[in-house]
Amino acid sequence: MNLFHLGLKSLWSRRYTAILVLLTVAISTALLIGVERIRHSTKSSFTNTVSGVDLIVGARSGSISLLLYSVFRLGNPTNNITWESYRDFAEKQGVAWTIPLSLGDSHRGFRVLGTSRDYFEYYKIGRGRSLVFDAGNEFDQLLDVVLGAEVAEQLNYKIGDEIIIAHGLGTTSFSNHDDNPFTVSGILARTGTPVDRTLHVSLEAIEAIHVGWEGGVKIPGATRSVSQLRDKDLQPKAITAFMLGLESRVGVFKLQRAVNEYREEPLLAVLPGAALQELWGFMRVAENALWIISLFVVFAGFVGMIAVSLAGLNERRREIAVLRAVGASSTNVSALLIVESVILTAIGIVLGMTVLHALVWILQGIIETRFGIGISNALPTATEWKLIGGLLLAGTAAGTVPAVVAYKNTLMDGLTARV
Amino acid sequence: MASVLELSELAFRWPSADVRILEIDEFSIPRSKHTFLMGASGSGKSTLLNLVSGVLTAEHGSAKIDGADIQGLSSKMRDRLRAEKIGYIFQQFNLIPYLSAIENVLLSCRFSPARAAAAQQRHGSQRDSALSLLTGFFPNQNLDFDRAVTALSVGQQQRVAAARALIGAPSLVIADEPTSALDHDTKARFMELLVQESDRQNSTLLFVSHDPTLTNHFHRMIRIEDINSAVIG
Repeated sequence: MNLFHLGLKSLWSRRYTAILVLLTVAISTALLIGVERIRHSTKSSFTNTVSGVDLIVGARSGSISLLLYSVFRLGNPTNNITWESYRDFAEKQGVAWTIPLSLGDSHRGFRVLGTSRDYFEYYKIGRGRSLVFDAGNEFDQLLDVVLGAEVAEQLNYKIGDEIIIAHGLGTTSFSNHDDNPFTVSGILARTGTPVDRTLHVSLEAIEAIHVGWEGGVKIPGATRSVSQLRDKDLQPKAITAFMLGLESRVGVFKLQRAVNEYREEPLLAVLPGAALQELWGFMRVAENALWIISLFVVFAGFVGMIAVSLAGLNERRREIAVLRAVGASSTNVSALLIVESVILTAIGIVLGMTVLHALVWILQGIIETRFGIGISNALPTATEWKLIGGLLLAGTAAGTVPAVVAYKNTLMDGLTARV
Repeated sequence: MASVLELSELAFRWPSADVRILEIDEFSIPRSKHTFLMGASGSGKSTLLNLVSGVLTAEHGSAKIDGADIQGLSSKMRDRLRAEKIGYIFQQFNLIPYLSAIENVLLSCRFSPARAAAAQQRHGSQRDSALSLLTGFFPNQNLDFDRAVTALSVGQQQRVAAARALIGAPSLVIADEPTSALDHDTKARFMELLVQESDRQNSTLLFVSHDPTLTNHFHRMIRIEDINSAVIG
């Protein structure tokens, strides 16, 4: 019978206490690895928000502000850019495609984005994943609208439904473009990105519904019917921002500099990847806080384990004296306690990982729908293995505390333990 | 006749204490001479046993078991010598509660390859050796030795402890008041079996007790006060 068997039997004899310790370790493991997995998934969901776009161009403000309103539909642009400037860059040599973006209207709390059909072709999410239609098609008619998955789901819209877009932002609006209702022409598949929360219309539609509006206010009697609108020249004078892709990425910095030094109006071009990284840097505070909290939980878990082990040590002085009498050295006794601790930690980790996988399996769908974060339920990543290794080390370290105390006890007690 | 235990100039005091609690000039136990060591509590019995088993370190002097001075060894070697040469029976709570009777007996072999080999040589396997000893200690009783020891009575537990002390035939078996928790009949039976099995294993008993009624089981009786010249009290 080796120390491992002895430790296993000893733990089994104290199984109720052992199970509680096991649960502590399991909860610590599930929390630590869970936080790591959420962190990793959030980051990848975040960096997957937009891909395949080489530059985002908007009015000169800050790179994060530009990224927030153009990609995340958060906050407001400081200024628009003129149609001429947009065309100027769109027609530049080496520019493969552009996606114009026009923001400012909303529908029941969801942002309305005026864009071109190129959006559905070139806007990519994740690792170059194109947008996919769950139902219907791109906008074809002037007042067609393509809904993001969440918009359709939350507001329960189907293809062919008519909706009214509000001027400005906010859930409740008293200033509606109610004379020109839109018809749902398509519903996009879920992406887990802000696209899900967006209503997409054509740039011309944005222009059309603002005909007869001055300074954000509807002029009575000045609005037109759809057929009247169709005849009008609906080319916008300004857009909010645009995205562009190059034929070869080699020229991206050169073009960025050209945008930033553009003389006609103050513009700003950002590389989406770099701006996303910068924005993620701000989130790091929250990320670190979460991380530190879970580390403290792990710490508390192992302190609890030490406490239970130390409390049990007094009851085990007899047992230890017997082991000493049959020839176990003080080191053997210490090793036994460390072995027990390692066994508890190892089983606790396995239990914790099982619980975590079960939880992810159950909650995966809900988290994806609610927060747009796809948490993977795959086998542990390299980082997670490192954390698991760390936990096992911590468990071993936690075992050394009672081991050292027991070692001292054996020297003091000799073979005549006083209980 | 060679001595199984030989003490010489053995002295001990606790590191912080002014006076010695043990001081023995000469004392030896010849092989096969089961010895009864009588002493009241506080007479230095426990200290003597801890010195003999090498758990405590003497101020000076030697304690030779089968000629090897346990006090002159490193702590690792002391543990090894104790495992090989000494079987130990406590007053009570002798057994590891989460092991079966057989496993408790085999524990001695776990820490001493020499005793494991001796047990194996004698009965073919360690387990058979343990079973033979246990059957010796529980004659005419059909007990399941693979069951948890917690189901055994105190008297039965002491017999298992004695079997553990004797497996692999150690030279010296120290019994530290093993009968103090037993009633009269159980005590007498335990003593008979202990002496009988010790003889069978060729192990010499050093039996410590303050109960004078047990002296008739032994070849000789020594009072600890007679060999310990340290002033106690």
